[in-house]
Amino acid sequence: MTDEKRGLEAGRIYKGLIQDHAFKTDQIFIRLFVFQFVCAVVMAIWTSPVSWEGDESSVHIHVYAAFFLGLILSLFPIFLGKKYPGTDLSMDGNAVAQSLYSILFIHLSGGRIETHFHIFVSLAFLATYRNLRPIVILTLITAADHLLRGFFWPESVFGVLVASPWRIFEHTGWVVFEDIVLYHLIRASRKELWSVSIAQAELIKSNDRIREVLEHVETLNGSLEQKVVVGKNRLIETQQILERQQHSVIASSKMSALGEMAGGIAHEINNPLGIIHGKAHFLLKLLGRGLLTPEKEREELEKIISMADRISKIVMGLRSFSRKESSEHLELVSLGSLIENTMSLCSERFKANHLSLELQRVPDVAVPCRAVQIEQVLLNLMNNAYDAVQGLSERWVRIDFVVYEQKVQILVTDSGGGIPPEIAIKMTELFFTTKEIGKGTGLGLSISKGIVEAHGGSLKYDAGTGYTRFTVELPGVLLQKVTA
Amino acid sequence: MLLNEKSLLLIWILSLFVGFSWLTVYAHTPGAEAHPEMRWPIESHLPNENAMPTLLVFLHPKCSCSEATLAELERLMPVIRNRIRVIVILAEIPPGPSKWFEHENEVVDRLAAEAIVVFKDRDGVEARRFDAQTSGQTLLYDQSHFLYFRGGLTPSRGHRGDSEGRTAILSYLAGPTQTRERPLQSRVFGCLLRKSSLTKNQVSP
Repeated sequence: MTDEKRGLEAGRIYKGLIQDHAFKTDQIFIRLFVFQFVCAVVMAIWTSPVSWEGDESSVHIHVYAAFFLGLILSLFPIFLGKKYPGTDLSMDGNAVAQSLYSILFIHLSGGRIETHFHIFVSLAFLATYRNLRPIVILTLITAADHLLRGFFWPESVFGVLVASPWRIFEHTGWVVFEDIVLYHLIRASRKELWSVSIAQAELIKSNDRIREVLEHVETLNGSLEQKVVVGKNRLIETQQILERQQHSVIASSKMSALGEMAGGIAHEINNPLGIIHGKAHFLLKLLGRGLLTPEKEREELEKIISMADRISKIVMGLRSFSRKESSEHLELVSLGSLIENTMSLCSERFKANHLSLELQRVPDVAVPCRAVQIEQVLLNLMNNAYDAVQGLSERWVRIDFVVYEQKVQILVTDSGGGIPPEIAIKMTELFFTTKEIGKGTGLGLSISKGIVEAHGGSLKYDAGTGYTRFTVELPGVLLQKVTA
Repeated sequence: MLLNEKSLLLIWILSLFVGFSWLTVYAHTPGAEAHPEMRWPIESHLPNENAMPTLLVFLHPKCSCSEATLAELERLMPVIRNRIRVIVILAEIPPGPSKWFEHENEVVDRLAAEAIVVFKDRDGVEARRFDAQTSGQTLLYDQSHFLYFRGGLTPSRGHRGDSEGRTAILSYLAGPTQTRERPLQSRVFGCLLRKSSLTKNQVSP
């Protein structure tokens, strides 16, 4: 709001306040006129009810005057006050009627000096308009009444036939004196009203500013909310994409792991298959020569069955590994089962390459997990260890277990000399690999980390051992024996 | 404002003008004046012994204007006490519902306190002797019992304040200048002391 606008606003408020005062004063005058009418009639009846001719009486003319003149004096300003409250017309009507009421009361009281005070009280009442206009009207009417009566009936005003002009000033002087006092009061009051108006205008300006700021903030809020919603939607979309990608990556990783396993599994199966084949031929040979004794036959067949069981176990592990996860829910699986399944898929490979695999005693605990995923992680770590120790003179892999505070740690350590820090930082990133092209996908560790963390656990590289050690920590371990 | 309201305003102003003019004219219309003999009537029973001026004030006890006359008389008393004998002649009227009359005894006491003689005028005998027709009629006789002033003490009907009557009485004290042939006079305002149908000729001795 500019200064000019503020000035206009203050002017508008000021006008409103003055009008409000005028309105309220009109309401006061409405009640006052009713009261004065009653007073006039009571006064006439009380002081001069009848006039006399000897012992005969008739209603005194003052009673008629009080009733009819009082009625006329009161009704019209009351009408104006009701129909045009707060207007100059109503104010002027009140001033005229109030002036004439003073004259009526003076008549009715027989000129008692006390009733002259009515003029001064009326001036005070009219001053509540905070306007000089009604005061001037009353003063003019009072002066006109004095002048006219002074001219026609000088003794009625001044008590002598020839009035001194100074007597006029004596009587009206007091009225004018009060006018001057009231003028100053009205001026001060209007000044005060103006200050109030300016203050209100300032307040309105501040309110407008606050409203503008609030509106701006609301707009910003709306925009921000919109952006948040858009951002949230984008985040959800991205998350969904990531989840899809993760699933896809997990599947790819699984396939990759399967591919990697293929060579090992060929070994795993080939060896017992060769033994079965050899034993079967040997049995046929003994049968052809007639040398097959029942004991020998049992012994060889048991070996064949043992090898077939072994193959069956490998195939079952492979099937279990490659099957789709039927449920997203965690299932309580014994740690021994997890380790056994993992070992079935890699132990022959280790053995065939003369790589020492040390497995510590598996504690009797159960892990709430998706078994295939955890087996995938462990197999991944075993494969990495297998690859890492190739070409080393000391080649071994060890698996340890630590159980503490409802947690279990699976420590996969190999004889490698550790991972350089610059590689350790990046090794859990997607598609990062140190393996030769075509051998590693770079998905293993990052996927494994994601799986373990999804189980509420962690996969960390432990650099403080002098070897290469990865620790898988899983929560929610029940310290009791669970049948897998 | 509509034409009707303009008419109302005009009617209002006119009504007020007429009403107040009527009231003012009424207030300043004097009553019947007394024309007594120039000398104190010898048949009067009112006291006039000693060579002392006498002020007679005739009042209708129920007339509301009497209160204004009494107030003016009381205002005069500090000046005229012991210099002018003051007699208030109250017309004896049958009792009735009048505030002033109810307080008659109180008024009599008030006057007595001012050393004013109160005379109850049965059947208006004294009023007729002095030709007093209007309440508030005042007559001032000098020490030789000659009429110095005839008129009223109020400036208008029932209205207090300085009047020609007051001025005349005060002028007597300052030193009478008026000739005995032409007494000072002023208008008198008040109710009729007796019915207007009764004339001076009907006065019983």
